[in-house]
Amino acid sequence: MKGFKCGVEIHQRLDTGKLFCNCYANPSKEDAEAGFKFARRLRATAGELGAIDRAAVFQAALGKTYNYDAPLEESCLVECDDEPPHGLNAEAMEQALAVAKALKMTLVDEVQVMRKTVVDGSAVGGFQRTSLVAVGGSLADVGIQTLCLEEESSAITPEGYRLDRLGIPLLEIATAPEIRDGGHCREFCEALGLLLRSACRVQRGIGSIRQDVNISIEGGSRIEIKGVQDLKALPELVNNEVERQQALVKLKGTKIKASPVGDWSGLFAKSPCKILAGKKVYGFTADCPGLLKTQMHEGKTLGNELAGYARASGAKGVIHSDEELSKYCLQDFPKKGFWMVCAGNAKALEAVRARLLQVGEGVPEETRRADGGKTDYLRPLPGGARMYPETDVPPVALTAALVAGVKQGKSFEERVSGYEKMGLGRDLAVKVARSEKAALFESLAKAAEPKIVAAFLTEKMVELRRKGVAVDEIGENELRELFKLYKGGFLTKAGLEAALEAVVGVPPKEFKRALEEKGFKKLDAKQVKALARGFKGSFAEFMAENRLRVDPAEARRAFQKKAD
Amino acid sequence: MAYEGEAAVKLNKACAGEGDRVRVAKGSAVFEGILLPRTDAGGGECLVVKLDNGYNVGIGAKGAGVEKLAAKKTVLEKFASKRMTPMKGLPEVALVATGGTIASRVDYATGGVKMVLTPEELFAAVPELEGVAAISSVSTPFTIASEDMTPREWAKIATEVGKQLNAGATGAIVTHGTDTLAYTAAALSFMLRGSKPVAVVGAQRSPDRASFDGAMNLVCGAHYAKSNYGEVAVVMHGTPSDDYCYAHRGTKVRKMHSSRRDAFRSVNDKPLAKIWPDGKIEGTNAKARKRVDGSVMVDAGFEEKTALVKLYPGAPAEQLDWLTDKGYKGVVIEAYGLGHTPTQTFEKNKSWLKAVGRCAEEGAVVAVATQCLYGRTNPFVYVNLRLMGAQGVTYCGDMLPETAFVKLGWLLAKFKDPAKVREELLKDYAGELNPRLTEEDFV
Repeated sequence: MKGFKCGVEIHQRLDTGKLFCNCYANPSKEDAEAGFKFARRLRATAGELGAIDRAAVFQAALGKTYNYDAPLEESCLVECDDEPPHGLNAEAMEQALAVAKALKMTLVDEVQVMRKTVVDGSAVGGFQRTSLVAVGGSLADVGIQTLCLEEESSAITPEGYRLDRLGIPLLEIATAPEIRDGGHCREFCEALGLLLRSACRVQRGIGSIRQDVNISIEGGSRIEIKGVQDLKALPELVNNEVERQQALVKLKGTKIKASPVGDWSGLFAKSPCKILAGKKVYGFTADCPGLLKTQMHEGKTLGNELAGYARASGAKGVIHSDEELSKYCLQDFPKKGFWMVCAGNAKALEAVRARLLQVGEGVPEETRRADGGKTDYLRPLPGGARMYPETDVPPVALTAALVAGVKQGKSFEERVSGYEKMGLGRDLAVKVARSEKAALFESLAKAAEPKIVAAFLTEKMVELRRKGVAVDEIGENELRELFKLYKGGFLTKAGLEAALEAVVGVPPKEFKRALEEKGFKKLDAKQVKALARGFKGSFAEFMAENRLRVDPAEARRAFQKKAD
Repeated sequence: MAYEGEAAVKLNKACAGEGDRVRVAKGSAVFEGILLPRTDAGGGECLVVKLDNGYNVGIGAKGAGVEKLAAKKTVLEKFASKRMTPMKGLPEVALVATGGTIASRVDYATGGVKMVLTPEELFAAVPELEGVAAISSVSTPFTIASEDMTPREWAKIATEVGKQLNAGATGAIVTHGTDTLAYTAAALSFMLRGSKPVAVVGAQRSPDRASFDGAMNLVCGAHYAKSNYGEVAVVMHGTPSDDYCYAHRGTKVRKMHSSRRDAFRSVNDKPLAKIWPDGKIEGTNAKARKRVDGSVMVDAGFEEKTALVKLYPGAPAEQLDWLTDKGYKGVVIEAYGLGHTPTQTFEKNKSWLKAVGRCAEEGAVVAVATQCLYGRTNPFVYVNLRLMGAQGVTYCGDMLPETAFVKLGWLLAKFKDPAKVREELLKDYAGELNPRLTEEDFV
């Protein structure tokens, strides 16, 4: 592909406290309770060089009021923009440094916290705090340009935004435009995702990692596609964007004249079209019949493309003469030539008209939203003018001592081979390294044989959860106590697995007593021998009856003796 | 703070200064962008560069190569400004700007926020103000943080506001830092003898933020300034939302939170009104004074030898002795509960009786307000109240300690006779005394 340039930005949530306050939230794990509700308006402000960012102007011009829900357990006055930020979370910075080292990046000497203007309401203060930590580096065959530590935005809800997510530390890693195609893009994102999960403490689950893709082609422009969550969609997404830009490049030079947007309500007063009848309807005409049928890529026309501009301005959509009008009962509409209408929102139609008149200029720089393999217009591409120093937080010096104190994050392969050295087979090692239990495994590995711990965490607990056992109530301390009892000979291997179910809700100190009461205590050789002697059935029957408290090897020996 | 040491040497050598486009190479990394001024917050040897992607980064000068690129010098700190064109038909409102967060934005010297915004720059951040009132005059008697203000500045503000109101303005807006905004509001309530609306407004978030709360405060303040109210009020956010403001009576208001937008609360009184940015005003206090057009007399005297002293367990009475020795003419003691002060302590020298008695004997007026803030003092309920009363103290009822301080200083400048001052202290001048407190008048 001539002139194809593609880079990605990966956003990964860290599993530490929030970046600028003392809250913790992991919204992918649990549903937040409804909290304190409030509403704010945002205005466009100038950057430190005096310019107002075009994306900020666009959003502020919408004049929206944003509704917020601040869950009291997972957000505080800092998220509500009602208290200045606390100092930058050192634990989150450590994670960023570990990743920067793993990616062989050059650290800056002093991290300056910036405000990135975001006036779509997703940040209550009107900006996201972000800081550039490292530059340069690589992973496999792709160069890494920057690593930033920034705040996560709020979660979108039907009413507005919820603030549990706001402020969770996020690593933003941007690559050089060295992605070759959609398939390569997917491969790279998978590799970087694995590295992040291995090299630092990350949150898991839906939304905890997101990809933004930047694409341009020769004659096109840089397009930022935000919020790709499904890596499988990447190849289609990249191909579609290339085709979209190619189609728009072909339209370069098209000259279009359009009438001003006018009030067309009268034409639809008694219209059979339910969407428009009796409503305030705005419309315009243009000298480009048929143009909006131009295909951008499979499943998307220029008409669909333009409608995205109306949606971004708050309208549900537009209706135009290049569509199949019978679906709106407008087949008898008297206007000839090209026309377009929009119900109730003149501003949205103005935005579409302005974009239509731009068709001859090629591909405008845009931020688009990913929806599977397709994209939709979101807002103009922001520029550097949206960055402003965060005056409430002093710069953080990355001193030699601080940097030396942070261990380089392990790569996925390093982690897997470490597990293999601990006695895990390759498959189990990979399984643990990929799972969100990796950190827990490392912490508990020495509590019993690593192989047993690994299998217990990745297989047994999953199986028990499926059975409906409340395994999530079993934390690290509980597991450590169980493994201790197993290693100390109090539990058999079968007993260990069954004991988990038996101790849900019991404090670790009470485990021994509770398990003894429930008959889990492992029998010693003498007791097994006595039990076997009096048993009337086969070995298998004996084990079926006593498996939780009898070690199979011990029982076999006792049966052997009995037979002798 | 300027660049120092190796950073300064390298910049000099490269003939590079703040605002120039520079290239800083260190190891394998190259940083290209605009050189920013050094802030106090970091080390002076770290070069701060604004990269093309908008990020600022600090690069240690040690081991770095600095090169000035042939590019036009960028002008830093240039902000949009707007001159207000008074719209015909709108009431004329005067604006007196004094500084504070509402006039602040980033300061490169300290890395914090500084009061550098001119009123014109502020208008650019709140263009809708033009459609609310005709800002007929804009004056900036001084620009200062409210924590740096003294009673002398209250007099300057009162004089300026009085001048504008007498020149025909329907009302006035005073922009002010929030920390001592309530003190100034109380001072203006006493010093401006007339019945025209004066809105004192501030901001808890600076105008360089999209979430600038001062915009709504200013707009609502303008609505108040052209309304039919006739007193000084603090007009600030009523809730954490950008929905409406409260106009709080200038003598009954206090900053009750260090950072929230709705930090200001009426104490021992109801707010005068709820004001929405679209101009809707709902009266919330039946005793609000109405506008009376006519001249406003400015009575801006203040006895500087007036003090406010807070009691705490074990507080030495010597601090009062010190004030007496220094010739203080009035002291407000911020006492406990109903106005309780230490009178019967185990250790005799911890009692304040003697020191208060001496202070009063020397001719000073000693007043007592409650640090509970809510509720009123009482001279009789407990014996220590009576003991202290016998020393000549005046219990200030439900007056806020800060208001009592302002009022005492103002009265001491008006009347030379301490007995007269004590008498006037308990007369209501500007709604500072509320004779009826109800169940509703508490948080």
